[in-house]
Amino acid sequence: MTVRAENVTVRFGGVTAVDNVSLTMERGQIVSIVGPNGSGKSTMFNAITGMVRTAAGSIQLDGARIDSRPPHRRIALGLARTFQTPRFDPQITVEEAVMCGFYPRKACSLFASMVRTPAASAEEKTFRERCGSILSDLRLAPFRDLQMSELPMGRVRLVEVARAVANDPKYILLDEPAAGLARDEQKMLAYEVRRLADQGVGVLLVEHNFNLIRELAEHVVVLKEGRMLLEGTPAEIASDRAFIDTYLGRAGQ
Amino acid sequence: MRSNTLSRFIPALIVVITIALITPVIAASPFWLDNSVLVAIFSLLALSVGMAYGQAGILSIAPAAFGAIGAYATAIVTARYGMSPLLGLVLALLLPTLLAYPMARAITRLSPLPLSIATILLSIVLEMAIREGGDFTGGYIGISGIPTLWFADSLFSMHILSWALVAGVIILYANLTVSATGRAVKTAKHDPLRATADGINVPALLAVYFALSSSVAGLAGWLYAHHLTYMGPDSLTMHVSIRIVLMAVIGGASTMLGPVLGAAFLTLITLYLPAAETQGMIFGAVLILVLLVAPNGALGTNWAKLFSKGRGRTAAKTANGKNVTGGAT
Amino acid sequence: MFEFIEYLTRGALVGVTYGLLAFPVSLLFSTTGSVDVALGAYAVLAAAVLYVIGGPLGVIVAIGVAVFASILVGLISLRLNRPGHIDHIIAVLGTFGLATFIESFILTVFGTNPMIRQPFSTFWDIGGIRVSPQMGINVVVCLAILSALFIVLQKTPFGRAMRASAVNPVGAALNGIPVKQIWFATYVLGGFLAGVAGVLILYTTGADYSTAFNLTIWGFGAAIIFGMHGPLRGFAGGLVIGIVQALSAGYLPGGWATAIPFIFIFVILSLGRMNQIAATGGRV
Repeated sequence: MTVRAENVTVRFGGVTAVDNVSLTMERGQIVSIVGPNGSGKSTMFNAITGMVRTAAGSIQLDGARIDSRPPHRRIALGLARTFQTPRFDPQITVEEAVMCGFYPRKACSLFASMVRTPAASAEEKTFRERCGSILSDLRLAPFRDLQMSELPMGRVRLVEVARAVANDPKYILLDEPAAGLARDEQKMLAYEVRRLADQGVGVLLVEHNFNLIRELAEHVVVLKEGRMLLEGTPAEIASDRAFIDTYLGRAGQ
Repeated sequence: MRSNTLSRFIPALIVVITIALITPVIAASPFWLDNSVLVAIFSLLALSVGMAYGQAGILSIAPAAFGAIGAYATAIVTARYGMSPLLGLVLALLLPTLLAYPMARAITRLSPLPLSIATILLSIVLEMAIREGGDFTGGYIGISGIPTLWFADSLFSMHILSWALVAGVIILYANLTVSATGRAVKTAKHDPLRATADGINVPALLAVYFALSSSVAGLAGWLYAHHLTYMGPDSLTMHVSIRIVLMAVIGGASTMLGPVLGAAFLTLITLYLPAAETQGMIFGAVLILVLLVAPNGALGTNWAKLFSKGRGRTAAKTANGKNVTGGAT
Repeated sequence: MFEFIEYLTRGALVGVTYGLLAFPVSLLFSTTGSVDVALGAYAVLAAAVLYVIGGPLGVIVAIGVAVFASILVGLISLRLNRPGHIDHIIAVLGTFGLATFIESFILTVFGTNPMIRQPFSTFWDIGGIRVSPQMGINVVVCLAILSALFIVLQKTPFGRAMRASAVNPVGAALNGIPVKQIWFATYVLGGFLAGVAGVLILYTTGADYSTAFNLTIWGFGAAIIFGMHGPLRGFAGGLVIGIVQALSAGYLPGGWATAIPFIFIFVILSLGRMNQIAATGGRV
């Protein structure tokens, strides 16, 4: 039960954004990708979710190759992701935004939704209830009727996480979810991410805050200029000379 | 939950109440009953634009073309072959869908813009095909003697039937909008990439909406043919399509009632407009004006926000979607 | 065989003007991501004005009127769009409004009569094919304008700014490039080219009020056949459209002759030529 990316290479025109990177995440495990801006972290996300085409390498989900499948099929297999720059419609409410995340769970046909069959009603009700509990888990319940545009960026990121969680994913890819959060909100997020992992969700986390990584991640992959610099446990990484020089020295503590 | 269940029925309820209030006033006047049926037909056409453009972001210049397909389908089976208008209804709902879905699937990837161009092509080619259709479509002469509906053979019953259909379509449409599919299509309109990350097959979903909207137009065409009992190549042209788009935009294309309001407004205004050839100038100018002043239409605009000083600016900024309130608190 | 070559030549010569219309389509699409549906209407407007005034003055006024109309569209799109928030569809809707307005204006003022002028009564004989000298003028004018534009786009600072705002409007705006002004200029350039095309069309095949949308479609089709990467591809696309028209007019019966070119463009659209910008390429 793993997502396995092997020797993935992504090119944009002449630029190689990701060069021969391999990465494995198990269900229930928290893996973190770190690296300076432009080192290919987000591109790795896009490669796994199918939003960019890989030039070489393979991506497997639970043993099946998915690199030729379109993004929506991969999401349907149990992947979910957030964006580094949150993408959202500023005019919808927080609740609506999270409700959008349930789409892959939808079982009712178009016709059933139109005539609102009892099954469709029940489904909508389940989604609303589940949405309510996700919102209160992430302490977003007080904001449910606010418009997205009225939220500070940190909370918008949390809504993104809630939206991804709504899919009930087996694997979740979080792109800098803690940026812009206050300390206690970071703690709450860390708790929720840990809880997700304990429930058996595989978490891939892009994060700049090494304290958070140390607290959460079991395995860390360091990228630099699209290549894998090193990997290991947070403790190993933190004591590595090369890592301290290129990364931690500037942005870490 | 909360007010959702109720709010889904409010638009249809407003239509029903309004019609119930108007009916006693106009019941004695064939002129107004006739116009009321026309408003209902154009409401359906404008609702089809609302579904495609307001919800899914597909600007279709072919609502009248899909309406014409529905109208000709029923005209041919009833007037030419003497078959039941109910068969005509099935065809009027089905044929536009069967054309629209593959068309949208073939053309749409992530952006619906090429599809808009294709709808212009469809309109032009269809008008040509109708003219060249010989006896089958009646060519330039058109098809006359389309029977009225046996279950609605008076103007009054036609008035009731067509508004009942409008209310019915609005209920289905509102149900769909407040569902996972409805939310998905809104996301796809706003940001196709975000929608893809939600697990939505954007091109397929857009095609489904386009097909649905075209079958609503087909329904309107069915009513049109049986109401006017005549269908000709000049009946539902691209110019009518532009008028229909204008109706939806004026009223508020993304709302449930906006298209109905726009259809009523424009149909009534047209009664007092000068000759047909200058109407295009008026419609064109009004369309541009509406887009400049209130691109979301009468019912889609937050007027209070627009008029309150200073906050109007914030509203515009908010629509930007970029770094509205950056940083943490 | 001779007949075939004759159709081919005629078609290519008519197609030259479509090439002129194709350029603004591809330029506008790559710069703003939008489409100006009123392009054909500018061309017909220019043709109508020249038809009435005539002479060199007429040519200038005709092109001026087309440019004026495109300025209106440019202003509308400035009002509706800004870098970071671009609603392509709403801008397209605006150009629709203008196209409808112009079409109806022409119908009201000039009526339904076809407008055409044929200044040459003698014909060139090229290998047995009779060709009006006007065709020669068309080719020369189009090639001259397109080459000039090609140089402007590739070599001047304005061209670089234009290409930069096409690739990344937000980034270009951050680098001090006046993206909105560039968009505006793109619309107006479209009006100018459409005006020139209208003038040539009046002297070649003629136009009437209902030609407006058709011309837009031809220009659009010409632009997408070989992809929207520069004026020369659009020019080649124009030739292809012209040839398809001439061949179907020559070999097919009435209705099909007019329908086939449209269906041809429909097929090209469904090949997805316009969608290559999609989601890939660049950071998400």
